Amino acid sequence: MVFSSLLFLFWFIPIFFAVYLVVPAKFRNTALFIGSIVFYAWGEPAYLILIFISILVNWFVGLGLRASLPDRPHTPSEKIIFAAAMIFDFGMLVVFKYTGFFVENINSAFGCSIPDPHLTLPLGISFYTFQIASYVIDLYRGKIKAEKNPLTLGTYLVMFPQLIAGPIVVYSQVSEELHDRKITLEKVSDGIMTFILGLSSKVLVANTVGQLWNDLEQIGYDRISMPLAWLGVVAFTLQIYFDFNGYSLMAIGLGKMLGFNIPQNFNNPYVSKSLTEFWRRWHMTLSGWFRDYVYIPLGGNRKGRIRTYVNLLIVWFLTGFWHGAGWNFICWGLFFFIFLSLEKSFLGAFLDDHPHFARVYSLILIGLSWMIFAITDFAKLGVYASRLVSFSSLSNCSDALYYLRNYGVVIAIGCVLSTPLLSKRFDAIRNRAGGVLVALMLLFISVCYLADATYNPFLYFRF
Amino acid sequence: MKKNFKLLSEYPLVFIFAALCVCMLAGYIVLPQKDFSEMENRFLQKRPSVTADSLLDGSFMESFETYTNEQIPLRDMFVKMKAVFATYTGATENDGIARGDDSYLFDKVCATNDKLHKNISAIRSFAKNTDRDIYVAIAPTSTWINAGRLPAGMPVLDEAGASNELTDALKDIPNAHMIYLYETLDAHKDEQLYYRTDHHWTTLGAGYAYEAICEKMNLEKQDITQYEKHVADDFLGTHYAKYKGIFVVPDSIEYYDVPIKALELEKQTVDNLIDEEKLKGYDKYAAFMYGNDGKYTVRADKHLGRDLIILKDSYANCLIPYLVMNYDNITVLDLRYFAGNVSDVLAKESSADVLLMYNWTFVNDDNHFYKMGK
Repeated sequence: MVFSSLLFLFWFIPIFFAVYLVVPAKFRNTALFIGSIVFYAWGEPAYLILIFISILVNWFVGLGLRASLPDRPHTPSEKIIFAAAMIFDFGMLVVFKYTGFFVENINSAFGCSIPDPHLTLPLGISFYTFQIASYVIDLYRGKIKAEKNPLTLGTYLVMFPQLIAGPIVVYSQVSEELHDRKITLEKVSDGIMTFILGLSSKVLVANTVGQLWNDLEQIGYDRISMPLAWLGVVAFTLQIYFDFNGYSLMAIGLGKMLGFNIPQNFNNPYVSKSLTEFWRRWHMTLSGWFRDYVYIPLGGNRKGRIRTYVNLLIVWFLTGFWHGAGWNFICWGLFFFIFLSLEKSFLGAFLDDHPHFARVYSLILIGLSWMIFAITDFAKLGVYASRLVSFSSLSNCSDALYYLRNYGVVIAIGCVLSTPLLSKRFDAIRNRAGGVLVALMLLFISVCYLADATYNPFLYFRF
Repeated sequence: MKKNFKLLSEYPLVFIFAALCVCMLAGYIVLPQKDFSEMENRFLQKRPSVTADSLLDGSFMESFETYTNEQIPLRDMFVKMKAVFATYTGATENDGIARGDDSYLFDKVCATNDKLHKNISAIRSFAKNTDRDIYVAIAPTSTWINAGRLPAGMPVLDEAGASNELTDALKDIPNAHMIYLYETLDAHKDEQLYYRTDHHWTTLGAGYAYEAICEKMNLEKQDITQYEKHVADDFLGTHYAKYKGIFVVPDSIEYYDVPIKALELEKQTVDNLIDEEKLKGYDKYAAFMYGNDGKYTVRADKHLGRDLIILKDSYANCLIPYLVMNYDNITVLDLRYFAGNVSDVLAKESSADVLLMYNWTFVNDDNHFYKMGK
C-alpha cells in the first residue's frame, strides 16, 4: 500500500487510527504492529516471512549481545554473534537485491550461463535492513540496551510510516517512544498538516511533472529538441525531490499522529552551494547512516589524505549501489565521489568565494546527476546527453513549447517550493485559520487528482 | 462539552480531517455502487469479495484498490474538478487528450506500438494467401487530418509514413489494392471530417472515403443525400470521456435513412441501420449499425449482383450506409468479437468483394489481426 492512494486515505487511516486510539496505551505497539503488517502485506504478502525472520533473528542476537559494554572488550562469542548478525542482515539484502545483477555480470564477463533466479525485490528491504543493522551495531558498541520484547523490536522495524521508503530511523532515535509515547492533539494536528503537505507534494507536483518525463521516454530521446531535453532535466529533478520529500513528509506526519518523532529527511537541498552541501540536505537519514556506520568506522578523514579519499570512494560506491542494482546507480555514486573529492581538495574554497556561480554549478550538476540516475540504459543516456547539446535542434523546438504550456505553471510552482521562500511564510500561518484552509484546499485538490489517477508511480521499487 | 468546543476551535484540522476520512469511509460502505460511468463511458470496479486464493495471490488487494479509486463517493465531481484544475494551470492536456483549436480534442500518442509491424505483416499474409482481390482502406486519425488545429508543438506520429509502409508491404502482391485515404481526406481538411469530441470520422468524412473506395473498386458512386437526413445533437464522444474538462463543444451526429431489407445482427434482425435508442444515451456513435457485433449481414437485395465482405473496426460503421447503396449483401466481420474463421466466411461468399476498413490507430495497436489467418 502507498500513502498517496485513496485506499490509504479513506480506508486505512480511519480504520487503523480508530483502533489505535481506542485500545489501551499498553496495546498500542500491538495495534501498530498488526496495522503495519496489513499495510505491508497489502502489496507483498509473500515477503512478510522475511520480515518476521529478520525480527526474530535480530531479537535473539540482541539478547546474546546484551552484556557488551564499551569499557569491557567483547568476548569472542560476542564477536562471532555480531559478525553472524551482520552477515545475515546484509546477506539477505545482497541475495534479494543483487543476485540478478551479479549473475548477469558474471555471465557476460566469463561467458557462462548461470541461471538468474529472478527474485523480486522485497518492498522496503533496503530501508529496513539499514534500520535493523543500526540496532545491532549500536548494541555492539554499547550505545543502547537490547530490546527484550520481540514485539517492540518488531514494531520498530515494521511501523508503517517509514517501512517502505524511509526516512531511515535508527533505533536509538525512537527507543524511548517505542516504550512510552504521548499522543497530544497538538502533535496530531501538526502531523496531519505535515501529512497533507507531503501528500500534495507527491500528488500535485511530483506526479504531474513526472508525466512530462514519462512522455519524453515514450517520444524517444532521439526525437526531442535541446530545450525540451533541458526541460526534461528540470522535470525529473523536481519529480524526484517532490516525490521523495513528499513521501518523507507523509511519514513524518503519520509518525507524529502516532506519537513518534521521525527525523527530518530533506532540508531544501536545491538551494545548496556545493554538492557537499547538497548531500547534507538531501536524504539526510541515509547520508547520516553512511557517515555513522561506514565512513567514520573506516577512519573518516582522520587517517591521512589518501585514506580519506579511499573512504569517500567506498562510501559513494555503496551509496550509489544502495539506490539500485545497476551500473548506472554505481556511476551515479561515483559521479558524486568525483565532485565531492574535488570540492574537498580545492573546488570548495573557490565555490565559497563565488556564491552565485556555486548555485548554478550545483543545480546543473545535480540535474545532470539525476539523468545518470533516471536513465538506466547507457546507450539511451548517451542519446539524451547528445540532445542536451544539440544546437541544431534549436531551429525546430516547438515541442518544448507544448510541454512548457502544459507543465510550465506546475514547474514554476515546484521551483519556488524548492526554496525556503514560501515555506517560511507558510510556517507563520501554519497553526492559524489560514494554514488550516490552505491544507484543506490542498487535500481537496489532491483527492481530485487521486480520483482520476492515471499516473501514480512508486519510484522506490528499486531501493 | 465546553472543553470539547475549546479543543475543536484550537485544533480544527484534527476534527475536520477525521470527520472527512470517516465520512468518506462511510460513503464507500453505505452508498450504492455504480456499474458504469456514463461520463467516462466505461465499466467500474465494484467491491470485490474475499476468497483465500485472491487474498494469497494478491488479486483481491489489486481489485480492492481499483474499487477504492472507481467507487469513491462523488467520483464524477472529483474527476471533473481535476480536469478543471488542470485547465487552469495552463494545461491543454488531460489524461492523454489534448484540446486544440476550434475545441477539437485529440488523442496524444507519443510512440508507435510494437504491434504495428506485426499487424502490417498479418494484413500482408492475409492478402497473399487469398486468391481474390483484397482492397485495403486505412483511415487517418483526427490528429493527422487536423494537424493545423493541434496545440503548438504537440508530439505526433509519422502516420502517413507508417501507412506507406503498409502500401510497400502490399506492393508485390498483385491482388492487394491500397485505397489511399490520406490524400483524399487531406483535400477536404477544412470541413468537419472528424468529430471534435470523438475519435471517429463524421458521416461527411466517411462520405469522402466512400468516393475514393468507389473509384478504386469500380463502383458507381451513389448520392446519399437522396435519402432523408437526421441530426442527433449533444454528442460527447470517447475523447471527451477521457478529457472531461471545460471549453468543450458537443458534436452533432448526422445520418441518412438508407433503406435496407434487413440487418441480421447476432441477437436480432432489424430493418434499419441506425439504433435510435442509442442516440438518446451517451455513446451515440454506437447507433450506427447497432454497435460492433462480431459478424452481421446487411441485406439490401437491390439485384445489383454484387456482394461485399468487410473486415473492419468501428470506423466502418458510418461508412456501411454508403456501401449499402452499391451491394446486395454486405457481410461484416469485426475480428475483436468474431469467434469463427475468416476463411470459412470467404469460402462461403466466394464471389464477394473483400474490403479491409481500419483506422490507423487500430492498425497501430490492436491485437486481433492474427485472426485474419484463421
